[in-house]
Amino acid sequence: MLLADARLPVAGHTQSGGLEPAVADGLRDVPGYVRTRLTTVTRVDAAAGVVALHHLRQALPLGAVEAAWAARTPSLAMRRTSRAQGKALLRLAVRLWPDAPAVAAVAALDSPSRPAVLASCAAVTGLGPRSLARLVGYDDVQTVASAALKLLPLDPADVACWVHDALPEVEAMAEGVAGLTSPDDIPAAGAPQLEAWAEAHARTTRRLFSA
Amino acid sequence: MGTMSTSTDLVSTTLVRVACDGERVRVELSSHAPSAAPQVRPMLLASDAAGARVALVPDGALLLADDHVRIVVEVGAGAALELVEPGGTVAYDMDGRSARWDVHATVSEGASLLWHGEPFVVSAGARVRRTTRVVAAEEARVAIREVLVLGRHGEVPGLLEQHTACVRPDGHPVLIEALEVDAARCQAWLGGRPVVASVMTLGLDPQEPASSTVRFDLEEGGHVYRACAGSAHEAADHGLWDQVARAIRSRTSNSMPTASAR
Repeated sequence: MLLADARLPVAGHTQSGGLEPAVADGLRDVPGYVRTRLTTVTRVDAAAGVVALHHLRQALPLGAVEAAWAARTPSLAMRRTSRAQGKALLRLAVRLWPDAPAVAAVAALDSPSRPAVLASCAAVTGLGPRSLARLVGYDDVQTVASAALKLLPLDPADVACWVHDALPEVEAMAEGVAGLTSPDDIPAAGAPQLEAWAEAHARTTRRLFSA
Repeated sequence: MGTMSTSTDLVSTTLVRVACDGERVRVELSSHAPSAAPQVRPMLLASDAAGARVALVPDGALLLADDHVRIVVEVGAGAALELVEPGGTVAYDMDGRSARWDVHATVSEGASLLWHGEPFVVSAGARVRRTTRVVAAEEARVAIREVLVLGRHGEVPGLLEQHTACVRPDGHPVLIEALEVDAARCQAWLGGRPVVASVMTLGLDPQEPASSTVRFDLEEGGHVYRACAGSAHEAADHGLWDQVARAIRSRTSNSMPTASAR
């Protein structure tokens, strides 16, 4: 619950889940955008988190999981965003669980991705792989939804309905990746337009959200 | 979408192998296919001490239901290979069946591969699974252009599964990407722009593409340049390809054994 709360001090309010550059390029179908993310970039992140959790529980090295995630995230802007978010969350995790081996294992990595840091939190709190994947999906939907309210003239109740309607797809995504254990099995679902928007956004100074 | 299997009796295999023994380059070209199946014939255009230039020429109608094209490319240490295609490939309506197009390229230490792929068109009703697997040594130089066209002009495309895996010889992943697109997803994945032109480079310095092309800097040092556009000619970044080709050719000639022995 705590991990999916926007009030957690990890700068979640600076993120739009890539919606800002999409809206700037004319996108208005936010529910469709959310669905696209759930089957592409968010699915990759959730799967990387699930496989990292398996590695942490089995005390296996995380390097191969991080390499698999990076090879499936061709956008440097997206990798940087994930690592910045991972860093903020890791700072909090180290404060909360200073003696946890899973947190120490991720802290030992050179700029861990957000999925790896979330996996360490899941390992400490006993969160299972499916719950972790669901959390990644839900958090992404909420990130896009709350950013949409700042970027577009929308009724907050409509946006809440979108989130509600996306929940079965979050669940389906989580179910699809929950059983993964090997870095090679992490899906590599690319979304060229999302990646292009992310790169364009990283180069502009006219923005409300950092990503 | 793991249901896209084809019968294996129509596999056509094309082999292009270039090896360098220090004095000259050895080029091995072959293609074979069952009698009913079309094939891609490799034809030697030129060769010298440094390497070879080979055209991949379709022989027979490509690409139809149940076709399975396999292209195996091996560039040995220090050798240079350029591949060109005389024209694009159209995958036609497959009436519920499907086809495969698999490329497996191995590029060794000090070797280079420059492959200028022509548009691959996925017509309405086509179902195609394409895999591109590149195994590249740390000191290899690679540039591969791929142009995917979702539907002929004004046409709703069929289904395309494109899987790209670029790895080091020890299996370390450099780029793993899957693109699964049909008419519905064309809008969301690609912003409704049906042509995706990509140039993947390894072992080359980053180039400045045209403003409509986005450069992705990969974790392991390679680059993907990509443009999504309404038509193949809009998506093509000729300036970028010229830069990439020049970079590969210049470094190739400098590193060739015969050149350095002079």
